[in-house]
Amino acid sequence: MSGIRDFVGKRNKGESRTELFQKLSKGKSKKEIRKLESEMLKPEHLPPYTGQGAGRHCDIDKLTLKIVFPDEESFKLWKQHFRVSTYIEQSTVNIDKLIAFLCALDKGTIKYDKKKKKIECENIKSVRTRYGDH
Amino acid sequence: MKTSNLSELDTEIIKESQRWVRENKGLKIGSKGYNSPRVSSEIADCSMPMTFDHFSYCSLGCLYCFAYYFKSNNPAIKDRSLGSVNIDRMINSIRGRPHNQLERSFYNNFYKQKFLLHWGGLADPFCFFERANLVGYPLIQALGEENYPTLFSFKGDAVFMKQYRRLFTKYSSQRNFAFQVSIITGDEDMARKVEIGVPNVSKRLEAIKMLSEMGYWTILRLRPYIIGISEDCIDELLDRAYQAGINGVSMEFFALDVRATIGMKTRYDWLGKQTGAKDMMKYFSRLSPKERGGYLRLNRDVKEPHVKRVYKFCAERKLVFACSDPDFKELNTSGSCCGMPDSYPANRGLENWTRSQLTYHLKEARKKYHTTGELCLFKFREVFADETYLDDKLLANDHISVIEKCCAERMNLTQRLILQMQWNNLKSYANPRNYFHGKMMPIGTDNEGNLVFRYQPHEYEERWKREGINLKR
Repeated sequence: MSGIRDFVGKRNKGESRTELFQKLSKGKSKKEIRKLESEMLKPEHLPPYTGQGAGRHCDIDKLTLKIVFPDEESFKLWKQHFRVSTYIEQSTVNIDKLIAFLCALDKGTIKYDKKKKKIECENIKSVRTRYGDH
Repeated sequence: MKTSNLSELDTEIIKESQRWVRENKGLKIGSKGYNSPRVSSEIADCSMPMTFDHFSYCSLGCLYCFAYYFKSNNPAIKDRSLGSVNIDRMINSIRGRPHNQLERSFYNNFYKQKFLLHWGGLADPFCFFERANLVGYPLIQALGEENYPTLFSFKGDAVFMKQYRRLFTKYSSQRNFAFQVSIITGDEDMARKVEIGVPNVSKRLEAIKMLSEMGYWTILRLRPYIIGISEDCIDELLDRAYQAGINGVSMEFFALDVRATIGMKTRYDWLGKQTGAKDMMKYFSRLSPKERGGYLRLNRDVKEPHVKRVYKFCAERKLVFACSDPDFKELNTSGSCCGMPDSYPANRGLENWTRSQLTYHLKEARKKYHTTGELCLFKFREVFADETYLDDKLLANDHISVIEKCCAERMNLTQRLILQMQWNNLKSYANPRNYFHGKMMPIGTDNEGNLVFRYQPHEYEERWKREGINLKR
């Protein structure tokens, strides 16, 4: 890849700067060598990458969701059932109970009535999910 | 420089270290609550990410100590009472009787497969603490009984104690142990000043000789290589280590943390004087690539002559050359930058380190380029393949990057996810392009949306090849 002077092709009259440095530093004292290094061997900057970037940095982004509660009351209710940590930012660590609830909803053990805005349970039987019986 | 030339600054620094060593000699352990092993934050290019220390800190007073720098900067480490791990529990874990979930994770991911244990990451297994407490002895005995592959990194001389000699002799035929002995200079006078309380160079070479003669795999740990100090007497040191029986040399250059406390800055000043750098901080700041952030590592052009000398020495004698530095990482002749063998028929356990890391892949890429001319591609899923510990949620909590994460993220992170974050974020100092400073360059993305990198040959490789240096090893 071109664009980085440090790589193949970076030469000065057939000599790389490290070869030149080695020549010039021969027989010099430690102090003089450190000074020469500081003058001659400053690091190259990497060229900017202009190609296609990664879609995201990390797959945990795919598993992360922001929830904004409509009011304080519902947030308080959430906090009653789920531990909210305030370390760095507010987040909920253990959501097993929520997953169990979703599994039960998914299995049809419980149903949500949109009009009544209520959960209805019919023939309550335990349903085994990976999170336990519901 | 002779000791008699030391200035007031020299005296102050050395006295501080001497006091440290004096206070530590004979110190008994205060608690058995120290947590180890852990998974190293250097997992991206580390072949033995299960790193272990049986003491909470080290009794020696090396002025370059990176653990001192890290620990003095860490507000969590306030308590200086000496702690050790609970050795009985550790032995039980290794034998399949873990006490808690974390121990179970280590058992399932590492011990069960007899994954190589690296003992001596931030402390010394054979320093004065071991002399006074002999805490490690039963564990080493158990590791011997289990034929468990273990690499010891050390400088201390407790290894010469009768019981240890007997123990290592007893298990010498099974060759499950390997040893890295740290020496940074062949100049005894300088070593005495820089490594306070550490056995002299000759004694450490004697340790290599003793263990090599028992038949063990031994490595000269030339770390940290301090430019301005280590090159004095380097040829003599390499020769003496070779005569003592080493199988390889592992080197890494001194790095400087810009987040320095006053104590650290004073040490930097002292080291600067020895190396000829007028202002160590400025010297490092000027010569270190900015892409790597505040843990300053000099750029590869500054290091090249030093690496070349050691590489040539190893190539001529068919020794393993290992480089833990991000620069010249590609020159490793084994996939383990600690210098463990790729192949070891005498005990296959010593080969049981992971290939799912960038040291191995960079080495393979360099070999392929110099053998076939092909420029290898690095894909995330191929580099970090199917190691189970990469997906264990309990094993990511020691990683330095979790500090900035909220609780929910922290509890759900794995080492693989952390690696992926660094891999795909070109602004991250740990991104392979930045960390290896251009040795791997991004060229696009794969079908999962992760960046793809390509091996980038450097000017030095062509030059060395013209000089007849074998880069196909």
